[in-house]
Amino acid sequence: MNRYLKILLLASCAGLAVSAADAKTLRFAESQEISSMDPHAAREDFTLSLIGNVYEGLVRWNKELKIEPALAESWETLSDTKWRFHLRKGVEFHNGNPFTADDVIFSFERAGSPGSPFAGLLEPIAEVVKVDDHTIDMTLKRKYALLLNDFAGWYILDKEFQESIGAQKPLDLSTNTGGAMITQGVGTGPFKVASREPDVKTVFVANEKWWDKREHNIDEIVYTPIANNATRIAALLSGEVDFIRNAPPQDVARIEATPGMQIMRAPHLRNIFYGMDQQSKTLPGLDSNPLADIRVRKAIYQAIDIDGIKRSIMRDNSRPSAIMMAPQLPFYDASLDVRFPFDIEASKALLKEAGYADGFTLPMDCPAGSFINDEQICQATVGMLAKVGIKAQLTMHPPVQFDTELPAGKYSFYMLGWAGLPTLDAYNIISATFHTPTGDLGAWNPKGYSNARVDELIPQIGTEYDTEKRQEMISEVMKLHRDEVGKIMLHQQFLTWGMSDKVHAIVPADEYTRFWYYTMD
Amino acid sequence: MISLLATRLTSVILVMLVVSALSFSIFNFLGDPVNNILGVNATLAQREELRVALGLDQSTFVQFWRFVERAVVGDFGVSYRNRQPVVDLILARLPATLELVMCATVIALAVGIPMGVYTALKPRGLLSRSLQFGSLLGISMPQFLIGMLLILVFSVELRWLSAFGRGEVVKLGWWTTGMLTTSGLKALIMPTITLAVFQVSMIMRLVRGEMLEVVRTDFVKFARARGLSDRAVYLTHALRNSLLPVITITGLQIGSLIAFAIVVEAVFQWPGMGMLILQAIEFADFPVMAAYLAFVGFSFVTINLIVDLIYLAVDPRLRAK
Repeated sequence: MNRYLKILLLASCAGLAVSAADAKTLRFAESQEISSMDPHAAREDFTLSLIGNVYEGLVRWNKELKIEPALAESWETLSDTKWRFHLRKGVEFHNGNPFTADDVIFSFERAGSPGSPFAGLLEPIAEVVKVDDHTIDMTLKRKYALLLNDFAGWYILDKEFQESIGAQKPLDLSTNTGGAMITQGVGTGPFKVASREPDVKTVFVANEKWWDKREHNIDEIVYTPIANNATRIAALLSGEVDFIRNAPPQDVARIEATPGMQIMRAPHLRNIFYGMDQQSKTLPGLDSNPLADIRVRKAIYQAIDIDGIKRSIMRDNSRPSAIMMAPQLPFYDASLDVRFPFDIEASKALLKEAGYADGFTLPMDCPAGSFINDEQICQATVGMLAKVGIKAQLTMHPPVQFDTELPAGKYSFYMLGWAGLPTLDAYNIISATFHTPTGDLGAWNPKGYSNARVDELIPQIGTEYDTEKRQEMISEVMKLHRDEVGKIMLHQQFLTWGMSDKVHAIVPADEYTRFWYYTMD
Repeated sequence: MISLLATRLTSVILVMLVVSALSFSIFNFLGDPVNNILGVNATLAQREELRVALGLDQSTFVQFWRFVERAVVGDFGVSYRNRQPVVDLILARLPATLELVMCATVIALAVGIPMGVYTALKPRGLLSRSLQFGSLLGISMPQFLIGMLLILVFSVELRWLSAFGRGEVVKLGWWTTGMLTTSGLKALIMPTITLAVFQVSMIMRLVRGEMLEVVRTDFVKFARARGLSDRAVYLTHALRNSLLPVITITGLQIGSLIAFAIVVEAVFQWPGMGMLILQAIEFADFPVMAAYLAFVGFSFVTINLIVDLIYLAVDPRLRAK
């Protein structure tokens, strides 16, 4: 009896082992943690990128970062400010509820409610009206060209499920309504939330009833946050995880040299640059503001050896850029992407012409850990500026402090990067970093670049539907900003994702992990 | 006894107040969590609105007063980052840290005391000398280095142990333990060793020094004169008299271990209090930071109190007074 039992047990164990080997589990680690399962509670790209596998919007970005239909099958404009969306039929949420127009309206009201981080994203929409169960009409407050772009980042929730867990509002920190969504969530996407222990582990399993054709073969995704870079790399090298998103540059070579490991590279949308206070009468410690003079800005630009930075700091994982748009974005104009050459003599001549032949002292502020090698680039810049007589006094800040003090206008010369997420359009970039600061626009251009023509064109770029006219206006803005040295452009950084060579991933320029395109051997 | 408790309890409250007041005065320099919640695309107006909603527009004093008002009734607010009540969050992380600290302390005592006694009794032996040398290394090596070396050897090269996490944990009421599963026990090994190395070295050196002192005193000579065995002289009389400072130091160390398990927890992604405070600092998660610091203040004072009580038990002279 006992022996039979043992054999039975062994046999069942063997059976388990076989099925476990067949199941494809992707073990993924990153330094950050998903903030919650609520897709409306925070506008934070990492979380939205991961839970974008659970939830879907009316449209989505495909492999090539083009918009394609998702929960909306098709759409048409009834007038300039009225859009009709035909919703996909036969779509089920993970709990089995059917997806209907009511869910879209609920998600609009939830994400657009006052105090919701997404209220700004949905602000152009005046109202959403149900025509029938699978048709809705949207009325806009004004013409708005980027409605679909924005909709790709606005995820649809199941009305009944949200009501059943009491999470009709995005997480509200004063009352903590919707705290239930920390660990659970129901969407329509290719993966379902199976279990979640905050800061420890989140498990997603494939949604067998997904409406779209399944290209991926992943059955399970196990996400573990590992904050320490060295430990995360060790976990990858030891085979405890299969996939990490950002491999630190110094570890790239080591991962590539390890048998069974690979690095996938791709350009990132993010452009890195130095922003400058061009409005103040004086800079701290000076009785003038040299940065207000275009010759000084150009002198600083030409003093920076960008190819040197690319070679020795970025280890070739960057592309020097002249305009603040990645080639991966629509309306990119390659003819404009030409830098002023690195030329120390020209730089010195410009400084002399501007009356700063002896240079000046420049306070400089950089984040430590926001961008790839930010610290090293800033330190290298200090040395390069010293060669033309500018004494930069560098202060490094933790990102959370930097991101608070920068928009408050506390810095004179600072490093920043901008990708244009989640809109993936020039409008996002220029409205935040080119426009003269007002309550709504120019939040990341404090005391910075200001040009009346640019300010006039930016709102038009936001509302123009005609692509030719948009191209013209975007090119004009980019050219003006480049010629007037609105910012000192550095480079477009590259993504380096480390993974086991069993994983076949795609590395899109917006850094999103779209697991429905992944396969594993 | 009762008056001792009463004075100590007052000092607990005072310490917690001072610590949280200090923590609030540094929050202003940290930045704020608005960006992490609203993302970079928010307008200046939306940022300001959230700041007002979170009360961050108020002066430091007003913010502190509101914190104290709510803390008195046990409400430490909701974490900006985890969106959970802070008390729940700390209670959920506490077991991981306490388990780690207790394991490290037990190992430190179990290994450190015998090593100390041995090196005191046989100061010139080869083993004693190598132990002495080893303890010097143990005291001077930074924890993160020990942790990374262990990971490199046992995770990356040998692949015996997991480089991160707590393994499978079992829930016992609100407590979670990793000591009931194989993966949980295996996960404890490297973090415990990393945390214990310094303690072992320190306790060994402490016991050795004390023993050398005590062995020279008169009462040990008298004990010998009475014809007691070596074992009784050293282990019952000498060791017992050497242990007072060991108790003090071990007690104080438990406090700092809880507070400073941060490095070990960060290296091994150990989901304890150290990890929690690190992440809170990165996010400018003020409710968690304030509550954590108050909690650490509380545990320091409490542990000191317990140490004093143990003193009473160990040293009869104190009881007489």
